Amino acid sequence: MRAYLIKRILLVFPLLITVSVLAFMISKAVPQDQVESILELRGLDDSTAYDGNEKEEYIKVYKKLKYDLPNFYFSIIPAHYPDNINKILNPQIRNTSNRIIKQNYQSDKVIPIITEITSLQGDKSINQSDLNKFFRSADPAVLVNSNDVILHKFGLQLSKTKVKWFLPKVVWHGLQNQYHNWFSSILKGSFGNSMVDGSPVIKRVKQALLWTLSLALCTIFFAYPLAILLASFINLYPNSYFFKVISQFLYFTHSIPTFWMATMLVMYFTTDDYGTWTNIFPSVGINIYPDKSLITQIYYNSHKLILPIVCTTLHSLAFLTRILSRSIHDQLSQPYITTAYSKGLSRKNVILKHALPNALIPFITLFVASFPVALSGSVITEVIFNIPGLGRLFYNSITVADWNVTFCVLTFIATVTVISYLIGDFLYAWINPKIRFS
Amino acid sequence: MKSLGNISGFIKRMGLSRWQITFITAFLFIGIFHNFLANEDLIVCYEKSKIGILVPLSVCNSGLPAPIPYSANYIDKFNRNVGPFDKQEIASIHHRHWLGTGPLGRDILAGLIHGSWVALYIGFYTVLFSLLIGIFFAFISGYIGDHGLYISKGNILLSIPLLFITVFYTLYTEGLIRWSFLLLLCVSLFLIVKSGRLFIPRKESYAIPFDLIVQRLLEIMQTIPDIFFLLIMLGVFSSDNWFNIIFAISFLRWPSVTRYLRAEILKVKEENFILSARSIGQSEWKIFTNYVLPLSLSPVLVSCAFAFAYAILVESALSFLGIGVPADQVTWGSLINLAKHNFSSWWIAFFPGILIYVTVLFFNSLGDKIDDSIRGL
Repeated sequence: MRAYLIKRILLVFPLLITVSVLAFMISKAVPQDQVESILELRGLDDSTAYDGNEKEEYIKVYKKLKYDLPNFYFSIIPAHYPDNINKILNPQIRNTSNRIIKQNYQSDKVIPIITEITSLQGDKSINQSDLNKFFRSADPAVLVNSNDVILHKFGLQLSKTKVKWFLPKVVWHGLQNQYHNWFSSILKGSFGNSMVDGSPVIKRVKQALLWTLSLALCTIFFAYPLAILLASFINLYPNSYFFKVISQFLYFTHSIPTFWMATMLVMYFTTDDYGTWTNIFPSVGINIYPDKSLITQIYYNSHKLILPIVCTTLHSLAFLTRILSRSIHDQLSQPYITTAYSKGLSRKNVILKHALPNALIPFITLFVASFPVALSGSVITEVIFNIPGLGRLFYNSITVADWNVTFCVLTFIATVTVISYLIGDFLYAWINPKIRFS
Repeated sequence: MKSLGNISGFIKRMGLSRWQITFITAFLFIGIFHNFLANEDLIVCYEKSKIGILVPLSVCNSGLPAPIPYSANYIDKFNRNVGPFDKQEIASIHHRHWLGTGPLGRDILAGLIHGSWVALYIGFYTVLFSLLIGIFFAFISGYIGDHGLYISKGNILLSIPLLFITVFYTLYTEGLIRWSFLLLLCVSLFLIVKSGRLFIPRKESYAIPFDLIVQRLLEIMQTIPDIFFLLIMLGVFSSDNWFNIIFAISFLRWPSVTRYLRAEILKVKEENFILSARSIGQSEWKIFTNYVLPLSLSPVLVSCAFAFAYAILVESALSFLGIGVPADQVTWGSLINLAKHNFSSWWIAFFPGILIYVTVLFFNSLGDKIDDSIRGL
């Protein structure tokens, strides 16, 4: 048992590291430029060409966020690629050189030529439309075919640097790279600052976690005991009309899409459009009282949380009751139930004291898996009901491409999922001795 | 466990009720012929003894119009935000908006019809791709397993640089050369597998631990919940075509297919008839396709039905959030998205929701029926 425990715990760390590497790679593959988004949010647009203050501002932000370091510890790239493309501070030069180098042009000759060409921008004696076409398409043929003498000369110089074949090269960057900085700052506990308002990410995630956690806890608190009650009653009185109606109702509620039910509830119960007598719930949204304590905030907003809790609880309840009643039904065909009946035990005794505990065993795995499920189900509910929880935070930061917040939420969810599956496995092995010794 | 030899017999034995059979035929019919059912063009145009199909009204004068003379994106300027029971400004009863219009004047019934084609398309391809990937991984992890493919030491030493070179050049070249390197990669993988021996170790040969690799992969896929993974994949990269969302959802679904199929294959592998087939010299691939696969595919069918329902649900949830399918495409979820801002127009949210609900309910109950019929026999 102890060896199983240790082996499972040791497997967690490579898993989380792999997930973090994958997430980092995705964030670097995103086509949007991070620094430009930050500048846009702060009001310095890049709609005009880079001249004057914006360029220096860009370089300042770029250097402060340390984007000029290489991406990872090592890179395996063709020999004609530059060792570290991020070293070039000007984004226009960097993007154009990147696209040209990818068409098999020698990098250490291309970069000075592109630097010279970009300095020609704004010069009235050069054909600017050809220049812009070149920057848009990154095709040296545009320069070669141009009428302008200087551009034509540059185009010929570029075409001479074309490489026919290349070998791979392995470049070792050492510990000075973006991934290492990011990962070590995570281990120290700081996820950076959010791009939207500059506040630390941990603070925003903590505030959002409060609402999501309270929603999830309420759902679990209401759904699980009710599910156990309903499932045992359905099996205790299988001929009762009332419980037949309830089980059919749950069967039909199981497949309702959450977002549709939430939208219908919001439409019908919170607005005046269908008659004032149906406007029994307050409008959506949460009022934040920043100076009160956490519990007080939930208490003041509790009347707004009723509808979301009803939404998620109904969905979970349907799912859980169906699984549990099927599980109890499967248990009732086992031999030990026949033994119990032949001993003279009453039906209530057999089902509640013998069949139900055995049927609850796979329920435990569901219970510990319900935390990640609640987190993932909260995205749509929180977006509709306008609750500032983790799901809505994730959705907003994805649409704005705020990767610090996204990573924090992702890491948190991955950790919670892995830990809950671990706990589920241990509980299962502890309760069921057959698994322990296999 | 039952064989898949007779599919129509299988369907008859499943015992689908009448409304289920009508629903599936109606859904397939409406989905496939959506362009003929709801279109502002004429379906058939006969003019001067020439017949054309789906001709716009401006070109042709006499012809057969569609039953619902609006397509999903057609904007009716005179009837904006009218409900099914309100008065509508229309030319004739043929042009009536039976289920109302959206805020811009788009007909809801036409949107539902075109949306069912999207649901059918996405569901079908998602299930197909997740099945293909899932069956492949279940084969190598369940059937071949940890002690299946034995490759001699020398072969491994030679194949590592070969694989590295082909993968590297596939990634960093363009065009025709890239495809030829991809072909070279597939050929080299095939040759490496062919040079190894299945299930019989040789001197100085090691087995590739497929089972361990696939199980670690399954664990990694399990770590991030579905919606977050989809939001990252789709919210960040722009989607111009449907295959982004199809690949994303099938990439989410293949672990469950692999899990079911791998458990079944492990159970079937221990049977006696597999051993006797091997002893008379049957090849491994024939054993897999003729004996193992038909017997173990039954729980995968259940998973397929649930995956179809799941694909429809996820696709509508994503288009409700506004990401996934291209912006001008009308699907069920995007219709509900329109209702978020017009609370008084109940018909925009009600009808698509009912349709999603009924479709998902149908496929879930189909999956339950297949599950029961497998377990009962």
